Amino acid sequence: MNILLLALCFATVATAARTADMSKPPAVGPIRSVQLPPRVEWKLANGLSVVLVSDRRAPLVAASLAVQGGESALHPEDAGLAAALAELLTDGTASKSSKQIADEAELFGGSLSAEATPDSFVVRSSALSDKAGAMFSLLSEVVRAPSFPADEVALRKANMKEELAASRAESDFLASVAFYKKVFAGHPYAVTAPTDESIERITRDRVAAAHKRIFTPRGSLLLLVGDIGLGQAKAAAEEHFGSWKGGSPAADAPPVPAHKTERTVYLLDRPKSSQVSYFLGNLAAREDNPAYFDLLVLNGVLGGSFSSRLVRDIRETKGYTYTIGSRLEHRRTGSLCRIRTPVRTEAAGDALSAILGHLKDVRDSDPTAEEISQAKAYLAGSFARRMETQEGLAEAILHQKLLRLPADFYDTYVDRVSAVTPASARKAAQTFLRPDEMTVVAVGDAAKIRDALAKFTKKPVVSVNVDGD
Amino acid sequence: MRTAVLAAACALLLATPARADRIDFSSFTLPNGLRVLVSRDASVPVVATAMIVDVGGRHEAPGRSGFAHLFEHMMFEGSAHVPKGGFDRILESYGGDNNASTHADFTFYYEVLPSNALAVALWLDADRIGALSVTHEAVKNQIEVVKEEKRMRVDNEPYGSALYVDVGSHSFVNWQNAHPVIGSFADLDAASLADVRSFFDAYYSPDNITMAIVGDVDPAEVQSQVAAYFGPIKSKPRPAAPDTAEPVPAGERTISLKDQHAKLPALAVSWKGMPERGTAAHRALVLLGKALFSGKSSRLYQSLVKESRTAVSVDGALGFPVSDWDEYKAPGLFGAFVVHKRDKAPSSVKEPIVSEIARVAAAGLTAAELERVKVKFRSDWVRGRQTRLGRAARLLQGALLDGDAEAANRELALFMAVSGDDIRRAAAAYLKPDAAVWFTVTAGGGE
Repeated sequence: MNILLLALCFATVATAARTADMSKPPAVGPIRSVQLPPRVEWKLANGLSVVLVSDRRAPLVAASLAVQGGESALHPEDAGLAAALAELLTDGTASKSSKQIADEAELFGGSLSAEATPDSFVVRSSALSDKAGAMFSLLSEVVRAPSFPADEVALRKANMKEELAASRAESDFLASVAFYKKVFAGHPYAVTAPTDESIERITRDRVAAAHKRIFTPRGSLLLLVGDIGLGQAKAAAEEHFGSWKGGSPAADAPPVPAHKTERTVYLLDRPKSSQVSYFLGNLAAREDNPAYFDLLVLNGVLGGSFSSRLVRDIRETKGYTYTIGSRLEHRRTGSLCRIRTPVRTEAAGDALSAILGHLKDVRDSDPTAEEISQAKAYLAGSFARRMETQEGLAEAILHQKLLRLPADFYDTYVDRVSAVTPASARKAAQTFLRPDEMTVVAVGDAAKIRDALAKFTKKPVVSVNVDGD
Repeated sequence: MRTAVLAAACALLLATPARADRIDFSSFTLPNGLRVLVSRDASVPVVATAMIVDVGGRHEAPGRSGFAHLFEHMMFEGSAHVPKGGFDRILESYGGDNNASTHADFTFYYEVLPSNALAVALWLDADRIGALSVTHEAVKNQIEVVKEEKRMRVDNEPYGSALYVDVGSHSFVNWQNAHPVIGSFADLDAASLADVRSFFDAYYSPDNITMAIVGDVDPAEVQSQVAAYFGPIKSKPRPAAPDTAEPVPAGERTISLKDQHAKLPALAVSWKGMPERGTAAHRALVLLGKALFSGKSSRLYQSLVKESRTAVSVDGALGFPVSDWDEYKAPGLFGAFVVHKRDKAPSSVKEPIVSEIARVAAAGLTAAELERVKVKFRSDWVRGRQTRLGRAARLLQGALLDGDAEAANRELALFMAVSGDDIRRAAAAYLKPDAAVWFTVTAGGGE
């Protein structure tokens, strides 16, 4: 009998060791910290900062060149000039046509492209590591000696007009233009899209002058990530950028405006629209604010993931929309939190009321421990996945450098996410989410939604046009 | 049925991450036949887990087109311990991502997530492989979802019918090769709960699946976790592999198609009877496809778009028109698709294609062209292996389609060894003018 019992016990233990409990998701341990590979930094005599991250996992090298002063360094009347300049960098140099530039990039097994952001221009290139020399050479040529051929400028202007017309057919685009115009009122960050008039103002001379003024080694950053060692990186930086000369870097954008004192609702009439596109938000904490990670996790609970309150309630339970989310966005001198959703026209008032209700709830009471732990797991996991490739790593380091975040910002990211508690998240909500002072933009059929919107503001609803004015 | 072998993991694993030109991995097989490949890379705490199932469109029975793909959808509809919608939601709550795809010769499923949560992915996959919920409502619901997908991608998309349906159905003779993976509405509507259950029973057996786990994991622990979750699942017998043999081409043909959504006419061409995977001729045709049709430096882009200005876009490859060359077990098609201007006759597109192929069949590629396509191939190859998911996919394609996961490691050197003469011979042998099927697509979409 005893022997039999013993045998049964043994069999149970053996089975338990070999088969899993299928009834619920397994318990898992905490996510391991993500350590970014070591960085080496130095400066050339002309003031260009160089950052090297040797990452030998794949025989690829990525080089990004970032200069200070992007869209915000140009006059608001010149909206679109920065984007045009970025595109035109790779459309011709003294010795190469746009096609030759594209062909050369193909021959080094990679890519070359440029982008204008609110605070900087970034030119990105990548290559097979045994072809890195050709990449550095081409990157240097387009950054330092673009020729802005007149026919390419004309083509770019024509395409920008087409693109603007196409974008204006989308109510989300119209809502975003008006939202930034109002939330950053009067600040250079307020302008996020060109107008027909500003595109018309673009000339070859204006593009070339902006390039000459802004593209300078001082204050700029060359980021090298990938299969390249320190000696080769130093030699390449010196050879291709050492003789680059220029003036002072563009100044930072001014500080962002103070918080609003009351909620304002803006309305862009889009007759017969079956949906209302909402953008709403307010200025919030920069990533170097001590309470930033509390706000980040709180945002995860509110609307930052599929399991968040806004998605579960507004989309799943109430069915007002197919898509809704909240996010934190960052510029060099200011950040904001923003909620975006297109909702059915009939639900315009109920949906906005429900969204504002959720904003009140996260300020009034602590999220549950489960919500917080789910938001933390999602943020830490998504962050680890972003760091998987050279591109992800390079983008993180660029962001840290361009926004002047602490050097260990990403090395401590997972730990700081993990340290957030329900109480600290709620405190961040109370400080940074300000539903009574939010800028609310609605794009939809004004005749059907104006009365519903009027209930959410003490002042009259303000009408805006396609440029957000 | 496969003989069950429990092999120990070979201890070749390196703590330092492997460079992407070689994927170091170990493997084991559970008693139920599930084969598992494990590759360690601890550079970030992320793991990809993927499954390749040896069933695709070519395994479907006549009258049951679209079943492999319909079934892929069913795999997200809930299982014994995971409610409908729970699969995506649970994975996301750990910061994970997932998706699946159905091909002519296989079905592929993956999850990418923080490595601490690997057990969650294994639990989710084991629950759906071992105890999928197949309900009448879910089947009917997913038939509608798949039909909507077909409307969106095929029926309402310019050139969608030509590319996803007509090229295959006119190029091949054997129904197993000729019918589209997306299926027909009639076959989908006829699908019953019993049909879907029997498809699951026939093909979703552990010994018909290979799994790859790539990332920040301990291989010994992975083996015990996989054994715990998948070990209890029983294997089931299944039908013989499909006969994909094709008769030889019956002379040059031209098929006329009309497309009510297209605004511009198009010309397509296909050749069947391609060489087997892993042969020198197969590799030569992969590179030739890139030299002729891929990118702005390619011969026919330069000839048709830039010089004669006959065409607005040029596309083509081995694997045409639906998948990439590396996504077939049995040979697919070599072909091209050119959208051309309304005032240009199809012959003004056809002639340059015919003459360029004749030039290659006579003289091969230039040294510069060969260098360019090899750089392009190597760059795509390296980039495809940057992620854990990319490496998992390559290992699984090697295991299923080449019969050996190690094929994923041999491949690059073999491609870099392709000579101009290999390409000349392959063009002459496999792209004969009298074996081509041409498709003229008339635009019915108005301006």
